[in-house]
Amino acid sequence: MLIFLAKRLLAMIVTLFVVSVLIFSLLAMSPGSIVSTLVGTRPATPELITALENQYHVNDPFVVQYWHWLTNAVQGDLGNSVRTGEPVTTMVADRLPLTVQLAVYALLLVVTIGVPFGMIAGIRRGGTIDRVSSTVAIVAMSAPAFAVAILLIRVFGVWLGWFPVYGPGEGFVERVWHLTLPAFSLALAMTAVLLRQTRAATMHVMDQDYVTFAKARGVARIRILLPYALRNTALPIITATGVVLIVALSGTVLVERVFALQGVGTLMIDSVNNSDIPVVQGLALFVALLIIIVNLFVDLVGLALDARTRS
Amino acid sequence: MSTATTANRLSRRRTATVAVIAAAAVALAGCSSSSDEDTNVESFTIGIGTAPNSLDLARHFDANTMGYMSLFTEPLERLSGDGSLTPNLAEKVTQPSPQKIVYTIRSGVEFSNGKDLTAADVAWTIDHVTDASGGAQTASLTASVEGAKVTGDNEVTVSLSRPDPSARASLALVALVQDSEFAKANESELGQPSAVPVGTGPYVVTSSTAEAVELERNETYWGEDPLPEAITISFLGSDDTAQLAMGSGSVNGMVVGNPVTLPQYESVSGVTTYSTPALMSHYWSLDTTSKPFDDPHARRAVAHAVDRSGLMEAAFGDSASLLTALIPRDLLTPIASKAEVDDFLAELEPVEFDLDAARSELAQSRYPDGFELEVPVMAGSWSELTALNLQENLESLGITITTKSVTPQQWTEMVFSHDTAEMFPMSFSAAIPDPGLLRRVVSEEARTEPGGYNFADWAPADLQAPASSLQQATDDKVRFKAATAILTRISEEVPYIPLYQPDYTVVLGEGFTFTEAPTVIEMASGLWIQRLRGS
Repeated sequence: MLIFLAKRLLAMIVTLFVVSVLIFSLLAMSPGSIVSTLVGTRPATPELITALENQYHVNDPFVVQYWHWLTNAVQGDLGNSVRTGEPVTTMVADRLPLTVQLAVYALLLVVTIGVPFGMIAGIRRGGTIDRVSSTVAIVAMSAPAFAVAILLIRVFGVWLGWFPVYGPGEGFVERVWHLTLPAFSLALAMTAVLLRQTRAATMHVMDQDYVTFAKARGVARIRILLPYALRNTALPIITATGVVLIVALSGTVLVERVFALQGVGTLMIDSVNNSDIPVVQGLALFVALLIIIVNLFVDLVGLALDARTRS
Repeated sequence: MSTATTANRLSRRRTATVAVIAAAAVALAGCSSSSDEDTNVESFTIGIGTAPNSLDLARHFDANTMGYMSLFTEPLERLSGDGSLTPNLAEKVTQPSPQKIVYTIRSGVEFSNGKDLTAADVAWTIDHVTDASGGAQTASLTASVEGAKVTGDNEVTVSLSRPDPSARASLALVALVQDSEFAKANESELGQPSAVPVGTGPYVVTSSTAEAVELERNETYWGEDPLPEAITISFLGSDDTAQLAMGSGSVNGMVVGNPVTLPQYESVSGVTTYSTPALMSHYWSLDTTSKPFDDPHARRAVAHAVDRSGLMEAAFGDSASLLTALIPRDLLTPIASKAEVDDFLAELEPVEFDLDAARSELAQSRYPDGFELEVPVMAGSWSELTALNLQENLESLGITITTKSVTPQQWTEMVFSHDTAEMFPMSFSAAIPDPGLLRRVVSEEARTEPGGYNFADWAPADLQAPASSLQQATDDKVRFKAATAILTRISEEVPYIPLYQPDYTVVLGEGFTFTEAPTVIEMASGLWIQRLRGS
């Protein structure tokens, strides 16, 4: 177990290193000089140019520049936004919580809807629930999140007036209320994917001999469902859930735009549009780190659930 | 000319009837004092496209953001769309010489933090917004200002490096007076949510986030309170979101970003549209020093091939008009009577869409067999539409046009580095209603200087004196003569092809009206809030 963890942590560091090189290269690859990119739309005063040259060591070789950037990044200094002059770390830290809240809310919806319906569909293969949920899943998978978002706003925000159509709200209850439509928009397609995944895993388990024997022994249906079916389908579901969370995080870009939520997705769009390279670098680094952590967590849960994976 | 329309799925005739009734109601409201209903508006929420980089004008200079900056930090004088100035924090302004402006500051005014407004605050503010070396974005507009000094208890004198007829209007727009002590104490963070500038305006900022800026009434405000007790400025990003938000009633007004989306807003029940011509020109710039546009016949051939009228609706819907001259009419009316301006524009002969004339001009040029051009365009904009139109119309004449897509950021970089193409799509907008910016497209210096837009590389020797007069002369007649001389030559020699003047449009939802449609200048100078009424 410890060896596994050590290997995973090492792999995580190597991955982060490779990602950081790629991310830093964004600056070197951007058109024009590094300084002109970092000046952005600000007036190019001599003081600003000197400060940027010193901060980014632009007259040094690439490797030295990278080293300075990396050591600063490790200490939480990812430079300043070329648009606002704010520290990138502060900007990302301000925006990240909203995006994570939205992604987690969507994930909860995906799991609480996708897993039970997927299991029922898998157990009652060919039944009404299976047919209906499979059909809905196919429709849901082919619906783009932003189109679903506009549809939900029009129906539940404008016509029925049940939910707010934009903004994040303040306080826990307001926040949940405001994020409901965005979370549903984000969750719909992913719920369909997890439902199909769970259905397939459940069908596979339900075809196993030990389930047939359990049924023959007269084991209660609930016991077959929980300790037998759920536990044995958990591994692929957990793996899929990890992927769902990652997709949810990246999928927030469009949904945040539609609901005017100022999260990491909106910040990414604005920063790319304005060639705010330091912010794009910071966001890419944070998202990469988040994805690596989610994958590590999924692996650890898999280890805990299935003894075979520990060998 | 401004327009106000209410759209609630009525036919055009019914809409027109409603507009007339609304206009009558607005006129009546304007004649009387605010009604009881008017005084009970608790809150007003207006949507704007994007959040500002800063709430300090020197660090973020655009008209929409100024629309609420000028509600908590006030100008010395309020600038109107017609160029007139109304006393505000300065109760008297004199110009004892062409290079001096003397402001007498209103006494008894307090900042929202309870401190008294002093002449030192005013002088600091003027130095702050004109500080080019400190990177003030407003500095290019006030380049002639040398500095401001306190010359009396309530007196500030501004020195100019040269006579500048537009300096007073420019300062009226950008010198939003701040508490200088607070600003100095928070210099590095000034304008960020942690250090919002403190002003004397009718409102005070209670919250500034990436989603919205919230304002509440300033209890110590010296003037007449505007209608809403609280104002929220929401940053809605896309017009789709804004239109849905208006439909749900959660937003009461919106500054329309993309004019093509205006019908979507107008489909929302009870929405009223207020449009005024923006002080903006969209045009093509033709490099007169390189092939093929070193020949005026080639320039005229291309100009004749643009179907300006046909493309206008596709690019702007009903929210634009054709430019007769390179600059909008409203930039000339502050220095001449409307009749004089209209007479001048009527005499100009814009190059009309006429493919036979284009063929004839090309035949007279040094390139009768045609030529090839690569044209930078921004996807989905007027530049792409007109370039594609030219591509098709000019193919039969032997002129091959290929388009090269550039992002808005790349376009901005090309403009600021003067790295433009033989044919370049250009847009500029005047910060104040004044024709002074014509100098930037015709002067010798504007070929290379930062802020110069002479991408046609066209600086006739005999136009340099008029260009200088536009910048420095204090006599309106001299300036009008200079402006008309330049515009006439542009019309004759076609270094630029004037195309469109877009509208500035604000929509209001049910329950709110403007007594008069605010121009972009009146939005920026904060006059719009005085015109807001509850209905």
